[in-house]
This record gives sequence, structure tokens and C-alpha cells, in this order.
Amino acid sequence: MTFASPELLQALHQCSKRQPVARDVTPFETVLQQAPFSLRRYHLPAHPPAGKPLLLVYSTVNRPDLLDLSVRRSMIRKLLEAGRDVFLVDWGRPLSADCLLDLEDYVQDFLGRAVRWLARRHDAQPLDAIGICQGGIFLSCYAALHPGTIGRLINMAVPLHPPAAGHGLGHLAESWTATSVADGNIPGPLLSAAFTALKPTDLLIRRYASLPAVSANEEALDDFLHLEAWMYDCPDQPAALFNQFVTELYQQGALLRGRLTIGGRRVDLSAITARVLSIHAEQDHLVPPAVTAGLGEILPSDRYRAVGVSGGHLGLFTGGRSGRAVMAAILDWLAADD
Amino acid sequence: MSGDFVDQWLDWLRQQAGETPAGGPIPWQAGLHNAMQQIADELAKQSDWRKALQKQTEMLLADLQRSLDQANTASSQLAGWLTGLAGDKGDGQMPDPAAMLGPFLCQWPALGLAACRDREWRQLRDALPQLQRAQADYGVCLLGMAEDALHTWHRQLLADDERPDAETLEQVWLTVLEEAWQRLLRDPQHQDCLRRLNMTTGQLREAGGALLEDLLQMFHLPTRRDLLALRQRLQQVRRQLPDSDLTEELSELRAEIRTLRDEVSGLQRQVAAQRS
Repeated sequence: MTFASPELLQALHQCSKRQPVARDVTPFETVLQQAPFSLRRYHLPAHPPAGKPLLLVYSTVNRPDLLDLSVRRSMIRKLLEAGRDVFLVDWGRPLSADCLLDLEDYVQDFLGRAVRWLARRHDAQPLDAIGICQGGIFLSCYAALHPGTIGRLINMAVPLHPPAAGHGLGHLAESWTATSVADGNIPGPLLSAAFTALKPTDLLIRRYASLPAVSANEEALDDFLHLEAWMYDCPDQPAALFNQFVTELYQQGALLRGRLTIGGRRVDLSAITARVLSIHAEQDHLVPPAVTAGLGEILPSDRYRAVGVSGGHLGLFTGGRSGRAVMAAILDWLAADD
Repeated sequence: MSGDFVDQWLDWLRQQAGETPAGGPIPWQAGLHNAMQQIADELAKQSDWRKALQKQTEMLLADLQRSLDQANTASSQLAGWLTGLAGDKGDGQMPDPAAMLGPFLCQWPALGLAACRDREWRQLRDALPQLQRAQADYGVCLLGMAEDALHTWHRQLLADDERPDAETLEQVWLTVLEEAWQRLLRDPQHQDCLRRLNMTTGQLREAGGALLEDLLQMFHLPTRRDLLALRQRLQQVRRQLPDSDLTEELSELRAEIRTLRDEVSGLQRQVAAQRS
């Protein structure tokens, strides 16, 4: 009787040899910074950035390299290859000194600086932007508070109305009691644990049971390790932002109910003037399709379109079959009136 | 997972491989394989595998209950000791240092300027048993989930005519455990337990934190309150800062205005010269 099969030991050795894995494969320069936030501008190797700007806004709960896992699976690279000048808001790694950062800082200040920076360099033209998960909340709020600044908004798996359907993350959020800001930030590992707790046997056991088979293929092993590195790298969350996000958005559904205020201003989603494409994954256990809906009832039908693709949450961004379908949908939609 | 640590860990894992059943901790996945293999071996030894499975299930259920009881006992001892330290008389079974120190500490806050500490000691003392109750209740939720999974596992295995091997035991267990866990996440009672656990943990931290803050302040050491106030001021200043590139843009605009003014002055001079 053995504790680990020779195949598993061999696979673990292969993993060990490949560490640490390279992350953020596409080159970029930082064009704007206000710690912990920064704005990245990407370019293809040996090509200067060019084309119409496209702003990506990712979530604060993980690092944005999910969009740039490897050359083969990089959503950012595909957007660059499609001729877009790609910018990304990097929310950084908040320190304990950042525990007071809240929605006002993230939406009005940081995101505002990025949008204004781009607007000043592009004749104040309304911007094309992609909001990913929580990043889509920030962008939707900004678009509502500053109509006319965002011309086309693509929301990918954005939990606009978490109470709309029972789901694991919603259930966990229900049990959250706001912490004291003085107690400091919400530790990133706690978030990793919470995400893992949504599918414990899949993520803690079955995922690793498949390792020997995965390690037989070098590309597949690289993909596995890239995703692994990303998955367990949750930055600490500013206490004020996290408490506000969980209690107001997840517990009270304040955004879609028109009860969310940022910096003293009520966020009225009907004020959004942008055209919106909402993309969801049909089997998404983190952001189920029902919680991404809502804008369709608020915006006129000629400015709103929803697209569902088969697969789970991560598949939207990591370039597999559903990722390719998503990219095609985005590029077609953007090309429609370019 | 990188470098020497992984290699050391792999070496250790390799040492554990073989016929020796280790008594120490083992990685969870290998542990699961091992446990299931032991059950499969046990089933293979018995003439009636169904009866043996029943027995194994009962033993696992008893183990679960025992683990929960042990966790509760440890938590109760810790809470009892801390409660004693916070000045409660307790049940007479508390360890000596707490029994001696507790009443003393309880007297101390009533002296002079430190009288306000009394309220904080009491908050701390109240928060401890509440957290302990919440922990115990959460443990019951988890135990219920595990029992639910074990019963389903047992039922599903019995439904098959063939004696299950280790692989089947493990795969069925993983499936039923995941399903039971998902049911638990949806269960309002579990949500309530988790909410109380979060809340009471927060209350305990708050009570302990307040006490520590005041003590630090007595020695003029910076406290979290001080840092928070400082951060609030910095946040206000940052929010009022103009965009960093705006100053640059303003300078460029000023230079352009100067150039335009110069050009206008030049034109005015030309017009005046022509008129004269």
C-alpha cells in the first residue's frame, strides 16, 4: 500500500521543476500610477501600441493575469492582435494602510483617473471598455455617474444583482458580518479559502488527482500551473471596500435597486448612455447567469445585448472553446459600428 | 510550491510510501486513498461485505463524533481559562494561574484612572463564551453534513451488487461529500451558524482590541485608532489631488496662451504701424 502513486510523485516533481511559472506574458508599460492602482498599456512584442483604445477593468479579488496566462491563452494578446490599443486597470496589492479604500476611491478616484487620462489622449471620445466580474460593477457605476464617458461597455460575468439567484458565493456573502475597519484588510488567503469552499472536492482533490494525466502533456501542465498560481493569489482586500461590496451589493442588492451611493451620489444605472454587451457563462458557479441580468430591463433594447456561452466562469477568459466564442462575440460586437 | 521545500516534501512523501502505515500526518489526498484502501481491504476480508460496510460506516460516524467532541473540549478549556483570566469565578476547575490572576485583574480596573478598563474586561469575558457557543454550533452543522454524506455513501454503495473497490469507495465518497456540502451551503441554518461565528469572532477581536488600544495609549504608543485617523486624513488629501498629468497639461496650455498672446501683440503692432 502506498500513500502516493509513482505517477503522482513524478508529476509533482515535474511541477516542482517548472516553478515559479511566468506570469503576465504580454509586455506592458505602466502609464499611470496612484498606489495601489496603476494603468497598464500593452503591446505585442516588437510592436508599438496602436489602434483604438480599449480599457479592461478586472476584479480586485484576484490578479489580472488570468487574462494573460500564456501566449496561447491570452485574452489580452488576442485583443492586441485584433488591432486594439489595450489598457488594463491593475488594482495592485493593497497594504494595511489602504484599509479605508472604498467604492468612492475605486470608482470615482482610481477608475476616474484612468478614464480621464485616456480621454485626454483621444480627443475626449467615449471609451470602449470591458468590465470583468467585480470590475464590471466599477465600470457600470462609473458609466452611470459619468454618462457619455463610456461609449461601449462589455460586461463579462458581472454580478449586478447577486440576490437574484441562490448560489454558493451569495450564500457565503449572506453570512458575512462587516468587520471593523480598524481590524485591517480582509486577508487574501481567506478569500482563496472561500472560493475553494464553494467546490471543495473538485478543487482540493479531483483537480490534483488528474495531475499525472495532465503532466503527460507539457502544454497542459503549463496551463495547469499558470491557473494554479493565479487561483491562490488573492490580494488582501481593503476592509472598507470589501464590507461595502458584500453588504450593499451582495446582501442588499443595492446597485440594481438604485440604492447604492458613491461619494454621496446615487448610482442610477438608467443614466448609462453606453451600448452594453453582457456576457455570461451558462454553468458559472461564481456568477450564475441570473445575477448578471438586470441591465436589460433598465436600458433600451437597442443598447443592450446579452450573450451566454457554454462553460464555467474561468472558461470565459482562458481561451478554450468558450473563450474563443467569447472573443469572437466581443470583436464582432465592437466591429459592428467601428 | 517551489524549490527546496517541494523537493523536501516529495522526499518525505517517498519515505512514507511502502508498507508502513504512518502514524503521523499525511497529505490529505494520499490520506484519503489510504483510508479508502483500508476500508476496501476490510470489506474484502469479510464474507458479508455489506455487513462489514455497515460496521465501517458506524465506525466512521463514531470517529466524526469523537473529533467534534475533542474540538469542543479543547475550545471549552481555552475559553474557560480565558474567562477565568477575565475575572470570572468559573466552575472551580480552571487552571491555577487563571484562578489566581483573574480575581486580581478584576479588582485592578476599579483603581483610579483605570476604572474604565472594567467595562472592556467584561466585554471580553462575555465575548468568549459566545464565540465558543458559535463554534460548537458550527461544529454541529459540519457534523450533520458529514453524517448526511456518510449515510448517502453507505446507501449508494449498498445499491450495487458488487463489492466496491478502493477507487469506487473514494469516487462515491467525493461525489456524495460534494453534494452534501452544496446542500449545507444552501441551508439557512448553516448560514445562520456561520453568521454567528463571524459575528462573535468580530466581537471578541473588538473587545480584545479595545483593551489593547487603551493600554497602548496609556504608554503613548501609536494605536490603530491613531493610524486610522491618519489614513483618513491622507485619503481626504488624495481624493482632492488633481490628476497627475493635469499639471503638465495646464503648463502646456499656459505656454500656448503665451504664444497666442505674443502673436496677437505682434499683429496689433503691425496694425498700429500700418495705421500710422
